[in-house]
Amino acid sequence: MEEIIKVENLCKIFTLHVLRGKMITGCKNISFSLPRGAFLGLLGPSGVGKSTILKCIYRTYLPTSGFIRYLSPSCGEIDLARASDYQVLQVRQEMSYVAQFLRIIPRVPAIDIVAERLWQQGWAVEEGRQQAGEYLTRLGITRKLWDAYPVTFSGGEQQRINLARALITRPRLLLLDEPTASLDAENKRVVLNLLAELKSAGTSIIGIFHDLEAANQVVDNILVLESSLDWKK
Amino acid sequence: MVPEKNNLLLEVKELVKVYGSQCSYCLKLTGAQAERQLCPECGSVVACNRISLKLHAGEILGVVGESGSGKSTLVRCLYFDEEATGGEAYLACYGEGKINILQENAQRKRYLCNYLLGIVYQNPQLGLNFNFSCGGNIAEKLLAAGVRSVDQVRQSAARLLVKTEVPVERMDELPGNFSGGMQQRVQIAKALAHNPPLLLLDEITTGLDVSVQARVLDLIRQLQHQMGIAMLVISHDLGVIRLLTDRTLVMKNGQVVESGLTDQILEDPQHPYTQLLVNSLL
Repeated sequence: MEEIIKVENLCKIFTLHVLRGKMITGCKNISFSLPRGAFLGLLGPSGVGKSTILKCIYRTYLPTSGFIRYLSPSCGEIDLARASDYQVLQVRQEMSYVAQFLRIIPRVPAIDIVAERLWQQGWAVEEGRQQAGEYLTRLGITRKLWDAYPVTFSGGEQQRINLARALITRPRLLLLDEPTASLDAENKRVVLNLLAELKSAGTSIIGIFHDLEAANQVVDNILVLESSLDWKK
Repeated sequence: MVPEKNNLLLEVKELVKVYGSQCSYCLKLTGAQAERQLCPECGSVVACNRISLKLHAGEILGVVGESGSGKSTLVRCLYFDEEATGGEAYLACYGEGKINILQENAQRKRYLCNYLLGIVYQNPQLGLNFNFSCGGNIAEKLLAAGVRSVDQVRQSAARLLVKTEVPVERMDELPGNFSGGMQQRVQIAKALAHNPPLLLLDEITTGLDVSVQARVLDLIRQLQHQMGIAMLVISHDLGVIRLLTDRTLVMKNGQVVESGLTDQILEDPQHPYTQLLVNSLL
């Protein structure tokens, strides 16, 4: 089966000049591949480099060595570890990255934060809002909160806004950093259902989970990272 | 908005600005490596030391750096407030992008400012004429851009003030009667009057209180969504840069020390100065 992304010997070492050049290893010799439409779960203890891998793929981190080969319909196969800024911005259109925490945009209501991603892709204002409303409803954010600013929201509500913002574009590749961490059982179920639905519509997903039980319901493959910084399947 | 390939709007090559007599050592003995901007040979100040950048249509590019690193001088050279000592700048919508705009004569430079460039200064005193009403300030720009009917001028001015959330009924007041945040928004309205493809924003939120700052930033974001104007945003506030830009340049001692995707610059900075800057963030 065709692979959407292939990671080979990915290493990320941070050189901290503020601490006289101290080196910290984020992740080391990571290799895996993701077939199209598959869901890969990343598991492992805190600090083992799970988020580092996701951020290297999204290119928030600049990989130190290794290859991240991504197959894009617009650019062909490109190596995200070496792609230019403009190439990365182009490819990011096809991806969504869900951070652990919502980055608040001041003075923008919840519904607009979600709809914004569609507006960037050229949707009309009202259509974008309507679609955003549907996603918020599905994720259990009541209409009352749509006009409110998410600064005041609870952790679980913020996380669902964050998810809605990522899922609404129906990305080709979805990168999830603990999507169910601050959710209760009911909301967790809703989110996992949404992810399963997205996957059956063709989205390839890489997700970090701490909750093995939640992970088992949706993932095809699990990559366990161990503290020795190597890995097994 | 993702900039498309091959729609470069502005290209700056090795722009240099030196204040003083300038000797042949100026550029070599100053900069980020030497950690100084004062030439030890002749005592000239090198404000911009071979700065190159590219800006695509519809893109917002951030420029961060400490005070005195040459950020504002860069923008002022591009708007011809200061004459660049050396280097080249090309604007795709002017002379098919083949004419170095820094070398043009005063008349052509005025044309560029009136039709193709907009600027918003940190200090509204620089951007607005405080002896004209705020409508008059916008009209000045519209007249320069060739609008001749009074009706049309007033309508356009009112429309711009609505867009920038300044009460239209106060259009005929002097800018001196307005608060700092309102003056800043009048200045933005003035800069937008002739629909420039490129807007230069120099520390526009510094000195505003946070609620007004949020309004101004919100306005800038909307303008970019709706009108697709390319912007060069100068700020030392990393929060502003994170909110507005996709790509960022980091300047130190008159040189660009690092450039990249904004989230990468903020989360995985490479240059020692950028690391210091990010680690100083509240």
